Amino acid sequence: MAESLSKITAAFETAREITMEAAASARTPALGEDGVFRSRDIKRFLNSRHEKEKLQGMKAIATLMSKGEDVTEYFPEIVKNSAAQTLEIRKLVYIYLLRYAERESDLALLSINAIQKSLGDQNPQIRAMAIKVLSGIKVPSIAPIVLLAIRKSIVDLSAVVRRAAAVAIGKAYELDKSNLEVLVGYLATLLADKSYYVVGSAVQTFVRVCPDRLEMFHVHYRRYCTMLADIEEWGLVCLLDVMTRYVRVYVPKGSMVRKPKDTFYSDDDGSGDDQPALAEEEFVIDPDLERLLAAAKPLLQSRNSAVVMAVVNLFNSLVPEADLSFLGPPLVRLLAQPSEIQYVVMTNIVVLALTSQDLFAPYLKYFYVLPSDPLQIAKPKIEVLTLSCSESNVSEVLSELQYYATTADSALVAESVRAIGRCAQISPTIARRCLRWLLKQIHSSNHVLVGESLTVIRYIIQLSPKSHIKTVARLAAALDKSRVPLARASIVWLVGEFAGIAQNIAPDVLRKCAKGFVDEDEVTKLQIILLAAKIYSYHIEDRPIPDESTAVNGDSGELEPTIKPPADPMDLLFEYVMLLARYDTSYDLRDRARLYKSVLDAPGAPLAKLLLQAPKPSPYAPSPSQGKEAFLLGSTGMLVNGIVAATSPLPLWSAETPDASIRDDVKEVIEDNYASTRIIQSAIKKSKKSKKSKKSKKAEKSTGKAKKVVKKPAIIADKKPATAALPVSKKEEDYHVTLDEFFGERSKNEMISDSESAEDQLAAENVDEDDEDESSGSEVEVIVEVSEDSDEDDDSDDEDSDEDSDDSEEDDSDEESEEEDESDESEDEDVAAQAGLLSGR
Amino acid sequence: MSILALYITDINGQQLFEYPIADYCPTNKSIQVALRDCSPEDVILRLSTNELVFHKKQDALFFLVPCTATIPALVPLEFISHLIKVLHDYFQPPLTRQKIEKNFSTIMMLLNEMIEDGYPFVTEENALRDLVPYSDSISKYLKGATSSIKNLTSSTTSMQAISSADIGNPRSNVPWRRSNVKHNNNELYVDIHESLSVIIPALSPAQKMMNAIAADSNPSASAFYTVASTVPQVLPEPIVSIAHGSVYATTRLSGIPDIQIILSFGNRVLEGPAFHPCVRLARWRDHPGTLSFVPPDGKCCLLQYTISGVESGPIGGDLKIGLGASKDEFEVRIWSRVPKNVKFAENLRVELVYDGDRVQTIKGIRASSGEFNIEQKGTGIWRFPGKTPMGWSATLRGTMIVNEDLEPGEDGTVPQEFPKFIKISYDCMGMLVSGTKVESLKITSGKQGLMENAKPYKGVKYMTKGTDIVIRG
Repeated sequence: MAESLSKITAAFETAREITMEAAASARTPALGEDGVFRSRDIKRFLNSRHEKEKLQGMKAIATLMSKGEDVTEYFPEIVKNSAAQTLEIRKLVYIYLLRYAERESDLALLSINAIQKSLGDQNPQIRAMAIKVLSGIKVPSIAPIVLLAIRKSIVDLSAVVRRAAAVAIGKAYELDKSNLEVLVGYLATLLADKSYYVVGSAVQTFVRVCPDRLEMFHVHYRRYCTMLADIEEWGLVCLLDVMTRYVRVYVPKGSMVRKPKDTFYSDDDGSGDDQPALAEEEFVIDPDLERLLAAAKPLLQSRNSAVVMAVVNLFNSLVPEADLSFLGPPLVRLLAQPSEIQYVVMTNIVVLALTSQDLFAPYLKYFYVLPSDPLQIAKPKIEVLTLSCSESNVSEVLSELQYYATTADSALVAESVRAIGRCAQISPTIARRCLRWLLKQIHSSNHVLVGESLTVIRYIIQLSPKSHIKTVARLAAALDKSRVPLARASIVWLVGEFAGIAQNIAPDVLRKCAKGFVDEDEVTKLQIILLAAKIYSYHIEDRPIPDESTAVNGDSGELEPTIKPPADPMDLLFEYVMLLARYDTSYDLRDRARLYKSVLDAPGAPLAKLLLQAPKPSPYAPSPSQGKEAFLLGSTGMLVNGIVAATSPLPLWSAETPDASIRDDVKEVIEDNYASTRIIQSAIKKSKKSKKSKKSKKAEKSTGKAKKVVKKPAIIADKKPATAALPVSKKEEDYHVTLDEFFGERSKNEMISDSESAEDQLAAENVDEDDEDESSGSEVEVIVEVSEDSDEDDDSDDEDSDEDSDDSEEDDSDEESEEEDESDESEDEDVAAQAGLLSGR
Repeated sequence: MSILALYITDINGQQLFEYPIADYCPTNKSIQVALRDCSPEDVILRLSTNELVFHKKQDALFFLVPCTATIPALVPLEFISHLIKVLHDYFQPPLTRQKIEKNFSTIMMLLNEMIEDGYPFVTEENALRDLVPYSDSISKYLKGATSSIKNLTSSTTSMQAISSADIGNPRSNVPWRRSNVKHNNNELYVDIHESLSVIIPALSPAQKMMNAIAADSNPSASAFYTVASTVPQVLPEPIVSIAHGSVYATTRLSGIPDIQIILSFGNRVLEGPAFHPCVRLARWRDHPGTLSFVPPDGKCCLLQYTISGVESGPIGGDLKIGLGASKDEFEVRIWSRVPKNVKFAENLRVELVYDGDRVQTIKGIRASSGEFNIEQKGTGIWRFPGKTPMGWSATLRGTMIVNEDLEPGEDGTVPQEFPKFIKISYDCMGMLVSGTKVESLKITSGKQGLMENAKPYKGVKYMTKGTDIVIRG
């Protein structure tokens, strides 16, 4: 059935497309039909009386704008349409104004009046558009008008308009920076907004306008913690960043605290008093920080990778000491995203792996390189494999890296061989294993593999030269087989480098090389004469010193170079190689031979020693991404080769943080609300618990509760700490609870006042906070919401029962669920009745 | 921290659409110049210390987004993905030059809503449908015919729909669902797609030995084409087998429906699942596998998950080298298993990857079915057009001819080359490798929008997409 339906759909779809194409070609000519827009025609359409033609005109303008053509000449005609009835025209006019108003500021002013009028429109969407355009017109002279408009909009009933106002604040600031203080005031109002829709944008504007005024977040911190899950994804990215910064400045850092174990019962003798060894270390963090972490953790389940990365950054910057193993799966999951996102994620994973090796060890399989991985993803994958490599998984990782080194493309080969070299650092056993494999690769026909292998071999030998004399011997033996000039050159160099340690190997290698000198490549020849020079420099060093007084330097036993017993085969060999070089065709080779000869001829050859025997620093082989830890996770800096204007770094942890009470809700009004809330809650709870109460008894209960309300002031004093904690207990809540509230609320609204839209009521609640005299309708609203608070709050019984009913609803037939609804409604009625009493106080 | 502009170009970099946001933003010309200098794989291009360009290729178009350097790197990339999703929703995939050019004003209005002050603003498809209505006259005309099957955009093109009083209020309740959804036919489809990555290592020498013994004792296997079912040979265990799954819901339901889907994943662990904002996380937390949500209208991705250690899929294969009289032949075998509810696989193809620098050509190709072609240097593709039945197998044999001008190795001969690995890909309807299942699919409430006797049509579809089935030789 499904298939046949979808087939039909597909058939219709194609039919529709065909018809559309046919129709498109057959349509009667309109503006720009032939692809050419004549300015005369456009103006005629724009000046037309018919909305339809105006719209066509505006669409033509939009087309020209999209093509990047200059359309300023139409400014007067377009401004005239800024009060058009059709929303689409108006939108297009607004878009036009946003882009061109700056160029024709005088003409743009003509439209201001119409826009201002729209600020009072019934439709919130039009109001939002108006505030957006007004703030976006970059004409400085209207700055005061913009301020006025913002002031009006931040208390608008519609969240859509308030959100637009939040954005407008940022633009108004760009327009006239002297208004900063006023604007920050407005922003503060919006930061306190109840709608998560608004808060997200307000935080974005905060970052833009006054990112350093973190103190503005004191009163909102805990509330935001509870709201995190609701805020839309883009605002969330900003908010998480701001919260991270806030914690760094105002919340004490988590620390390891020695917790005395209950040593009292241990059979320890009396001296145990000041023995910290018995104490157990525990990682303790501030409750406010814990609150944030608990709220942020579920956000790792966001579908938006930018949010996930912001959460990872939050944890990594705030509690790097804690067990962060839960960050692995969400990051690994992002590897299924399109390649460009994968690339960014991989780069960040590497940086994380640099600091905590174990984080990705359980997920190694995800970092095996697939043939379809582009190089930029394969490289960091190899890096993560290497970084996560430990004694326990080394054989898996090595065999995988070895596979890449022998089969992959050249760029990846080099990367893999180097990675093997880094694995060798883990332990001597692993180093030996790597070395064995690398030595085999010298005979490969793949130049890249050979070259890289030798580099890594050199590196491993240099880690502990004394234990690798055998390796040098094996390398020397490899020289007989290897035919790749570069590899030969590298081996000769390596042998020379260890001439001092492997003293009987080097001269023999030189002897063999001298034999075939003529047939060698130039690179190898260069290395051979260097080898000769090195051996010779050691050779003359070992000679008995006939006259110490002639030595130039007194520090070591320098020697007299003049004595050359011609019988010494070493001398003969050196002379022979130098002669070969002297008559070579290469200038470079001849020059170098001359150089070595003369430095070695000098008395004591001090220069030669410096030149030839200088201990080479062990090649530093860091992970390629080493150093990227300096960047914030998710920032662009680590992705780009070259400097970028970096995101401002996180502030350092404050040494002293103010008392946590600064984050208490300071607003009297709100506290008051909360206090009364609790009273009402308890009353409602009772009424609910006592039974799904019979209606007749309801009145009594309500009056009982009213009495409690009278006691309110005293309770407030007692409950203060509790009220501060109130938003906290909400932290576990998920946003869909709010959704449920909405639905719940709908039915309630229908009961109470069916005319008002839910949104307006929401807004009304908002205003209600500051405004004492409100219509009873909105007062009811507050209390209704309050009752919901209680549901979510600490009344677990209640929630459970709700859940139960939910479940039964799912299992049972619809009829029953309707019954449930009814009972819900009766409860709502209950609440409403109570509320009515309250408002009468 | 802001997006400076958006450009859409064709693959040659010729600009089709521009949407400048900041006063001074890099032009497409300057970006194209910079693009020429960078490697094609660079995702992010640095124009200056302050400006970066993020880009993405989609269909035959390039999306270029210059940004200030302080923006979190994933924001512009996610934004481009969202934009493409929205454009697909409005104009149907694939996006073409013609579709862009025909809809300049709509795209412009969309961007006007999607970016605010250089930062992503409203990006939810359903919300945008409310803000930027779109339907051309033809689709309106056709709507009468197709509406029973496919709901098109909101009823009227012009402003009346928007400026009517009811605008905007239900939206704030359910930000991801557009207002006043009405459908004549109510339907609810769930599609679960899994894409499968498997790496099967080469056999160890010991295993090869055992297989050789098995082959010797089995005379029928000595023929050119060995038949999968008759050879009980040792197959190496996959070292990687990962399924990335996505659960899509396509809903065309009136009103505000509340849906519950119960999924069973067997006993497998989901690595870091990700949810659409509409899914109630607490419900999932308390009852793992339960997706409870008010859906956006149309198609949405409810859940993305990753499972490791799944089965290696309905299609298997192996690669043998060093066969034949002179030990220079290779043999690729592939076979399909017989999973439940699956009748066939589609788009089956096998990529044979070898060293293109060393191998001149492949000779003596004998394929039991399908077509084999060398399509680019180092890759030969063995295709099976149409449907491939289950319980089937095919074999490909051949010899690689090594380049003559290669230097001989140590022993004076040029070593024989063999394929490095084979890569299988296919689509297979009707099953999921992870064994994930939809246990139940219910519309729990919100039927008030539906007609009384309306019984919404429900359907579930599974698909496994083998993307990277790698068998190493």
